[in-house]
Amino acid sequence: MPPGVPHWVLGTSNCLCVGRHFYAKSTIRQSVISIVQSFILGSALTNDENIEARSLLFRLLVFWALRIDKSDVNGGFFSSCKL
Amino acid sequence: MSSEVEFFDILYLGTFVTLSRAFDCRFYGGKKLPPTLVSEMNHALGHFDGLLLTFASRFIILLGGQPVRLSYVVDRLLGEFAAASVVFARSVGDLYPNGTVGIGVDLTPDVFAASVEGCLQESRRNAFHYYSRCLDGSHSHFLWTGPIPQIVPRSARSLAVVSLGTFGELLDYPGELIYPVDLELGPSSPVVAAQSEKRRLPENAGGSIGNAKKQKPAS
Repeated sequence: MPPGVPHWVLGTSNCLCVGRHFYAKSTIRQSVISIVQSFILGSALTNDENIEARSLLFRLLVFWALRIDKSDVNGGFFSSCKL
Repeated sequence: MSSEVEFFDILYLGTFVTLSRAFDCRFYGGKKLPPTLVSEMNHALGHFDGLLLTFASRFIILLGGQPVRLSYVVDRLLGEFAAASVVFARSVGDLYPNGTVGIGVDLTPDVFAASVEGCLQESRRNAFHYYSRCLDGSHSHFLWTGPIPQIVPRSARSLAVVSLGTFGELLDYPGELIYPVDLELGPSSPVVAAQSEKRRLPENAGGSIGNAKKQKPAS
């Protein structure tokens, strides 16, 4: 499911739900816009702020910056950077 | 990074990191911050600046067929993104009964706007003027609203074509000016400014600027 898609979890009986989030390069712009909108809308939209995951975005930017220095001058940055 | 999609992927992430303090409840209300949070954020911002420098040294951006500086695209996207978030917060604040927004913290839209503006002033002050204009116009688009950029590898041949058709890379895109126009300084293009300076020089008695600086006042 891409970022920015409203969703909910429906349990037909008492249960524990386990899920994971991840950031994909192909949807990074939707991810950051969704984070902003989720932050502003607050508890009306989401029950989990995932605040610790922000560090992943910082590290992703650092990774891209480090990686591009090693790429060729004609581009091919992401093509050589399999995410 | 040579494609428009990859280019904007990096810009969106960099824009978010630039403004991320405003979108983080830990930075409000005088809370104690995790020790590595700020350093990690600043580290990422430093790499973003380095990445922009690397990009500018390798590629030329064409908007509507005209070469523009990378800083124009960065400042415009940042201004629009920041304004859209503040406009969104104000519209949400109007809907909520207590007028506050935010997750993990109750914020008034004005406090949120002040935080966004603080990030802009601290990181990219040049984008602030355009942000204010977008805010006045209730800009609501997070996504880039300009023409699709063409990204050309920087080479002797591409530079020759660029300098042949225009005055070089423009600081501001004529189709949508984002920087304040200083009427006393005239056009914002540095190349245009340099050429007009050259035309004035022969009128000076000393010839070059260097000679003029060496002249001592008559005693």
